[in-house]
Amino acid sequence: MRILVIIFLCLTLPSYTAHFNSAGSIYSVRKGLVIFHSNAPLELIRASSDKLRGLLDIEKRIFAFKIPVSSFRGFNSPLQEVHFNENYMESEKYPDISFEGKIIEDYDLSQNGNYEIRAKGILKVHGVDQERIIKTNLAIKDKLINAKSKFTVLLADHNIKIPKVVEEKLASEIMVEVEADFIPQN
Amino acid sequence: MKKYFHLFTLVFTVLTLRANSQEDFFKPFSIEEDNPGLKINKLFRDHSGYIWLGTSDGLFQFNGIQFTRIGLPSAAASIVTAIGQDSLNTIWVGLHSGRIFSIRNLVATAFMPEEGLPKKLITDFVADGRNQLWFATGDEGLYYRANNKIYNISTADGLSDNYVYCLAKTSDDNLLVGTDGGISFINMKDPKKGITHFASADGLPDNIVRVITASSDPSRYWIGTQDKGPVLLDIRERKLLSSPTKNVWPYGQVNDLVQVGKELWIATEENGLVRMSIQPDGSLLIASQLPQWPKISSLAKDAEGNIWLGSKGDLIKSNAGAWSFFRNYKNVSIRKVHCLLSDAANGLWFTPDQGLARMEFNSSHPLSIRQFQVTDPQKHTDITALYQDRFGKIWIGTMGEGAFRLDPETGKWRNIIENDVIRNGHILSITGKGNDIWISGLNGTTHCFLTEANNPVGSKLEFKNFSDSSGIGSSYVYDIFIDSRGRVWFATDGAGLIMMEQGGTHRFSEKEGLKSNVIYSVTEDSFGNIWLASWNQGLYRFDGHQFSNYSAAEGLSDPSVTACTTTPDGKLIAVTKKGIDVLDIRTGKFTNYGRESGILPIQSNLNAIAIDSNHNVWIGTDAGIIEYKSREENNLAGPAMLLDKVSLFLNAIDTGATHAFEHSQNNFTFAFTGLYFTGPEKVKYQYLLEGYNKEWTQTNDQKINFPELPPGTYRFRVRSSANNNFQDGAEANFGFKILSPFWVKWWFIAGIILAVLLLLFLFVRARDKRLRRLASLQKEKIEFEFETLKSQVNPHFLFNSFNTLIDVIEEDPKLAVEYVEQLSAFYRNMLSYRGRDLIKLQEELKLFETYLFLQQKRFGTSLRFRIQVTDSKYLNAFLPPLTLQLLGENALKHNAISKETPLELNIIAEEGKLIIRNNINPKLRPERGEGIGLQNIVNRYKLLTNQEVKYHVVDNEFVVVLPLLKEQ
Repeated sequence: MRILVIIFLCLTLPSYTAHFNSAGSIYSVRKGLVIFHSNAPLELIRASSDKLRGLLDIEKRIFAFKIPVSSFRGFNSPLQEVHFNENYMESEKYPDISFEGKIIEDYDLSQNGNYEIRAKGILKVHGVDQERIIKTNLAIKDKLINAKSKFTVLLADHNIKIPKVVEEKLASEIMVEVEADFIPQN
Repeated sequence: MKKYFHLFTLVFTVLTLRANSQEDFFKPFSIEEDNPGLKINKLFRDHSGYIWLGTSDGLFQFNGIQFTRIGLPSAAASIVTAIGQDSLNTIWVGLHSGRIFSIRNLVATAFMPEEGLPKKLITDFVADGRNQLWFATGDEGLYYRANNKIYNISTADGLSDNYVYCLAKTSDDNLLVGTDGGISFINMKDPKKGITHFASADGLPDNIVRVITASSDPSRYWIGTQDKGPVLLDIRERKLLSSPTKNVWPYGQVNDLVQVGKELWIATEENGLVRMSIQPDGSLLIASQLPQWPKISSLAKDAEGNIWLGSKGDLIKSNAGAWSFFRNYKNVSIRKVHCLLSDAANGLWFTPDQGLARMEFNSSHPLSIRQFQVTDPQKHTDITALYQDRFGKIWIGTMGEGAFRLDPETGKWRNIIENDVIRNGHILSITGKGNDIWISGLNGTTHCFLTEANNPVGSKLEFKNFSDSSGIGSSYVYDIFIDSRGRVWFATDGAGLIMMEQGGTHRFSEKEGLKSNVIYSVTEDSFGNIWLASWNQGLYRFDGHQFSNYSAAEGLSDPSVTACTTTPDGKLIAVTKKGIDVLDIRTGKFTNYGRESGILPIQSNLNAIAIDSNHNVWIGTDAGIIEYKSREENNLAGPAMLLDKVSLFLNAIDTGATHAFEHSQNNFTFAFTGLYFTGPEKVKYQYLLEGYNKEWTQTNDQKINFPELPPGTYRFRVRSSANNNFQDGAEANFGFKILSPFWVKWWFIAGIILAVLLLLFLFVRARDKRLRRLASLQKEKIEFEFETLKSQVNPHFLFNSFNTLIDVIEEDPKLAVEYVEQLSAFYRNMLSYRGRDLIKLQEELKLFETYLFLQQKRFGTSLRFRIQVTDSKYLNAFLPPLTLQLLGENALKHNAISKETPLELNIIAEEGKLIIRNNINPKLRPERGEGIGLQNIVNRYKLLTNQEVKYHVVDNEFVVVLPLLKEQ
């Protein structure tokens, strides 16, 4: 199974995997959860997915994550999920959300401890790239890394259009929470 | 509920923050494009002074009034992310897509290096001392161009990170590079060697360095970080100069930094403009925040000291705090300020709406306010004069309640009743120096001498009134001023200016050049000049001998100056109803500040002006207090004069190249700008085309066309002014020459004259020659006639003819008759032909045959001849008369003719020539023939034709070739 994941990542993230060190310092997501919610005036929308995949090189301090848009579940209604996939995110055209980049702080991440780091990279949502700096808390203990982050995504930044009718149902700003556990790859 | 509470407190804080601090004037300019999403990314001031705007949709140039879009060729998405300029004044523009353009004369050209362009966004440009261009990218490190080759510097070469935000060049050709990994230092002369760093390990609070800006100290740079605000770095010591904000920075991402005097202006992504005052130790204290425009992406400083802010689609002008406005503070409404005083502790006393208050400051920001109530609130008494004496007590002059003396420490005060000029009177001015106090009012002027006993406000004061004939006592004295030499000056209504020195008084008049007799105020500058503000006559400067007037012609906005003061840095501030004028005393230049600086409408009050020990000038108006900070940044030079474009027949020409033009290149258009961001609408122009105009012409146009300029040497000069005083205005000029066409050049004219002279000479010579030829022809003809005549009356011929005749008479009388007839015909013909120039060959032959007939009778068969001319073409040709007869005579004369040696004469006409041949049998004793006859023929022909007469001896034959001529 793990080999399959690596193969999957190697296939989908060829440009980045080429940069990763081959041994020791690479961690991959064992368990990842992405939750988003929008505090719209009339209707709270909330969905989550555990299909987060990703790699982290603690020596080079670079990373790459990816999650399929269609994997989000837990909408208020099946219709909302359809709207989400078809109207807003156009998940057939833009199947994945990805975030690739580097860690700004030069902490030694091989040491146990809690670190507040900034991940800077390109966030690709709805096919539109945005350069983002995302604050993340890393808890490292005995080669297990837990990463937690909260950030917002502006729909306008990613050219996601909301029909006037549902404008009140969907806030222009989406809150995103991410939590992932990493384990060494080998 | 809790959320709403926070919202409320936030709103409250913002409001009180605004209410509590002074207001600065910000004027937004909208890029009026049909693109509501347009965002300014970068502002840049070029070497000429223009502001350039890099936006999410293209590039613009701004001249203070309007935006000009500069088209970027074939750039689909022109998100401009970087603007720079090299030392050759080319503007460089970088896009988000990595494309680069260079701009000259407002025309953009795509930069296409053979190495290709970056794939990532361009973030900054810098040109080094050798005009090598450096440009930074987001994620590809930086590039530089040397010798037309592009080189890359990335992490592989030791750069701290490939994402570069900004570049800053130091004076010693080092490059500071702000990256995601801190700051890299690169030696621009040897870029690849020894790149060093300054990052979080060295104490940098944040590794993301978004902006690096020079501070006022060339070895110190302001570093703007992503999350930790600005810090000051000493680049020689490689040391942070304190951590100014102690790592508490609540305003988020820093986008840009500019140091303005003692303030650092910080453009933030989410919290608008943050201004911090720079403390002597390099630490920063928050001064103010401007939340109206939450996102400020870029800042630029113009040459006049204004700061420009780029916020979304707006370009916002700020006078950088040169002017501040106090309209209310805490609960005090600052209105109808008639009087101001800056006290010894730099507290500002002022009169808000008939009250009295003192404001304290902390680095020019208000800290507290204290109000005093000395006058009767029921009476609505105006306070008109304030003065602090040597004991620190405040003297207060009023309209109708006389004067008061106040102890600011205790708040105790009393009405001064011991002098009848003052008591219950109307006070106009109070001033003093040391122990001397001078007070003027509608009742006259009085002098008080303080003693040590006068420290308490309750102590009795001694006065001495003036009612003498000097005019001090009898006129209204608006202002009393004691200068640095202890002279006391009285500004009066009606008696002009009176000066008191060592007890004596002098009244100045027109003799010294003072034309006004209504003077509002007197002040002194740091050069020792006395300045007067007059009613309707502007300002006067008195240098100790003469008064010089400064009014509208010199640039004063209005001739009635209600208040004026000078600053120690050589400025004079004058208040008029049209605004506030600042005169640079050294240069004599006025700068007018009015509506465009937020100053109008002004309702200024007489002599409501004060200056504090920090050189800040305070002006009281009905709408509040205006503060002016006299600083080096406030450039008072007026408009910068730029000649933007010179066009020849509407095509821009390179002003750097040749300035000589052909006579047909004579339609010139000059486009110019008086760049003046402080008051762009006020700029007017004067131009003069030297060599064409005699006088300066005033215009509001920024384009002047001269069609059909005659050849000559010209200099187009243009100058501008924002206050109608063009004398000292900056000037731009362009000298050029229109060459004369070749036909008015000296060499051409000289050539023509020479050619005419030459033609004349040739004509005269040809005529002369022709006349001479005619003369010689005449001579030849006469000679010829003479020669022929001579031969005809040759005795031999006659003798021979008669001998022949005798023989014939005896043998054949009939023939004799014929012979005589022939002889007679011969002579007749000869006589009739000899006067003519030419005769027909036919006639000549006939004559010749007659001659031969006569000779044949003598020689018989020994003389043979054959004439083979039958062609009428030849028979009708011409030749000089008697030629053949002369030749025949020669042949008979020079040859021995006998039966054994007959003379054969052949005449043939061919190829336009008549050939006469005879065989040669020379006589044993040759005849004396000087060849005159033959030579005569040759000469005659020469005069008639170019064709030559040839004669020669061939095969014992004498041949003469005569050209046959056409009659002329």
